[in-house]
Amino acid sequence: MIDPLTRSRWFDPSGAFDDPVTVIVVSMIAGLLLVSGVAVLVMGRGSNSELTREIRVRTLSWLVIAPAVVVPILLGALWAAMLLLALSLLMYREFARATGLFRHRLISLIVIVCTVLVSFAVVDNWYGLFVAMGPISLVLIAMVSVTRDEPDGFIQRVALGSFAFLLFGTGVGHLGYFTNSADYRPILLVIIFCAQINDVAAFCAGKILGKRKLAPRTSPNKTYAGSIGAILVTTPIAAWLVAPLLSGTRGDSLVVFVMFGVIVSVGGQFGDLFLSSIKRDLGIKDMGVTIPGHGGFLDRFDSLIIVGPAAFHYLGYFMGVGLDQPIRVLSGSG
Amino acid sequence: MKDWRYKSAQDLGMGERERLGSARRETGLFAHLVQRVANTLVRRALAAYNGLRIEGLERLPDAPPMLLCANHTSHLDALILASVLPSRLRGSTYVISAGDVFFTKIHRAIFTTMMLNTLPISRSGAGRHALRLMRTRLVDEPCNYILFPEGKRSRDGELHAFKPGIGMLCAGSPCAVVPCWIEGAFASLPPFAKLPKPSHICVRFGEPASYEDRPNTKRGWIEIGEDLEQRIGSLRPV
Repeated sequence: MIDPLTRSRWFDPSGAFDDPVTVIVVSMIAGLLLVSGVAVLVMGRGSNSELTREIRVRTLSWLVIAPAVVVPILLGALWAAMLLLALSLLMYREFARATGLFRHRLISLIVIVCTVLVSFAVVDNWYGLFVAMGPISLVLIAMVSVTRDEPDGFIQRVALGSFAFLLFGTGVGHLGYFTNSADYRPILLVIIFCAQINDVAAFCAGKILGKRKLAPRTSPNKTYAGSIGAILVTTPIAAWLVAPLLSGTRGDSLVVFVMFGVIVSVGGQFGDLFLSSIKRDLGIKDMGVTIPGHGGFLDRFDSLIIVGPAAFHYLGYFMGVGLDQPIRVLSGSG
Repeated sequence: MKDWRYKSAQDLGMGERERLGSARRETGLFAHLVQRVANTLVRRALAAYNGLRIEGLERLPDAPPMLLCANHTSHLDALILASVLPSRLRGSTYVISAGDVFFTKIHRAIFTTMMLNTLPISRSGAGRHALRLMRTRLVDEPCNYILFPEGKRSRDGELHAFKPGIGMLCAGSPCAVVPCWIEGAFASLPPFAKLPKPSHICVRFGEPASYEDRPNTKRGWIEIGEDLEQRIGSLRPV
């Protein structure tokens, strides 16, 4: 039997807008989509340059992605956890196809099973298993790799498999673990919203002001102006949004709020550069073509790979995640 | 440490729909698991319904690349061959099928790729490029192809002249070419029938051959076609 507290957290959307931060973030997203949608329609008449077209396609894609992410989070914690599991798996799929790891089916299967187990730990509110999945996945991947009796490329396969699991199973899984917090809705929305605003701010600041390249060999389009612009835009927004969530905890201070903003902005940019490095190394431009104008899921949500764990441990230090909720909901506390 | 050998999927950068109809498509884990289940079910069904018998399975090579060529009289043929292969070969086996039949409608393309791991080939002559691609893929990946060199189902159950495409795939290539005769599929489900009859089916594999010494020219292709036609024909029970 699932206790009523957990059940309402999982399934009950009636309290979705109880937290003012949720209302603010959702209205901001809706407002931005509306404004950019109208702007694209107006702009679309005027010019037809490469940049305009790119912005138009990107904006249209946002009109689909944003509700796909926001609605499950509003509906309930279980849906949010499933959304993040799906995101992990889709990102892994792109990574595996791009790196060639998908040809090692057994390793792929282990990565997927371990990612699902991480989600189980998330839904179960079982932090022990959540943490244990790192070493468990490594052992399992190494074990199935040994059974092939093919030492050629052993290190490469095990390394690629563990790397993939840590990035998508654990990295994105940290965002999932927030669903065990009573106020997971505003937390998740703030993190994802700020990470995406950060990307958009970097893109815009870079296009408008950018001159000096940040890392020309890794990502030729990124500039110092873009990077600093993103920090300047994201930090105050993130600090302002996170303040109510941290009030009453021991992190209730302006320095903590601002640091959160810096972590999201810098972490997001590193996530971006991190994926760019992987793509340059592989010699490909995008990880997929699923989202028009953006590339694959990995291209769109790369920042979350680093922002997820960073925000989790930073916020967790001050407020604790899921500590006031029933633990081991499904597996039983014994 | 050995050099890094991993390569991206050949179909990287294609949309799902384009990927489905591409000769570059590589099978993912999900499709692979579906195929394993489908193959097992088909094999059980054929054994129960048609008393499927398999001869010469030990003649198949230990590892890819392999080109498995058989006579073609029925839609059952591909199902039969895909499901009887040993697991060491099955995971890397593609069925080469007519692009104009199986890949024009999206639902049919999904069904055949998921069930049989099909790769499309054009029968209208525009397939030269695709054939070259498949030829390289066979050895480089390496993988196996199930292929019906007649190009279409025989309308009378007899063996008909082979298309030169088969030679283009294996002339001058080290890949093992295995001839195979499927007996009884025509009686069970001929091209003009809708449902299969419970008649006996027998699959007979012949000795593998290699056409590495044949030139990759028109003459070589014709010679290979004739040789294979004779080899497959000789497996036919009298």
